[in-house]
Amino acid sequence: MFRYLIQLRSIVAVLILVLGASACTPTVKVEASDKPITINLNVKIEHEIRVKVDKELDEILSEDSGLF
Amino acid sequence: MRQILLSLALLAVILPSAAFAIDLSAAKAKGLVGETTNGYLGAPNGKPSGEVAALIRDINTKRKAKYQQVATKVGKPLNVVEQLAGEKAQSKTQAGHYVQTSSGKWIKR
Repeated sequence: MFRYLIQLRSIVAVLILVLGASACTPTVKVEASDKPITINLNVKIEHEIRVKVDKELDEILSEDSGLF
Repeated sequence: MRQILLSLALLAVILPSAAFAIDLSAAKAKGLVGETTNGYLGAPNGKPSGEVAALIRDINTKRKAKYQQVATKVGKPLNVVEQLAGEKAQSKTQAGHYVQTSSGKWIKR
């Protein structure tokens, strides 16, 4: 009876471990799929900045201010 | 002599950049100044003389003010504007004038 209890305990322990491990897996997956999205956003923003700043800088560079 | 020098120095302080003994295009043509990658003037020969150093300081202060204006207007950090200005200024640099590479080396266009 005692031996059976110990066996049951270890089965429960293993179950918890397995469940714990599998519970962690989705979290990791979510993080991994997040990354490409972030990179795409950065590229898009970068391009927008480039276009916006470019226009402003063109004025400064062509200005007759003697700064360039 | 000393008084003449002193009054000249005073004039240089009072008058705007036009009073500099050397102007930007002349300094560029002589290879005394060049465009860095971050949108500012630098000295290709490493140690600029007093008047060239003063010119660099003056131009760079004014450039920074302009870049800051753009950064505020567009709502982006100053260093982004500086970097894009550097690219632009270098691409517009005339042949024979100096530009600095990202590794810090000065090359003639």
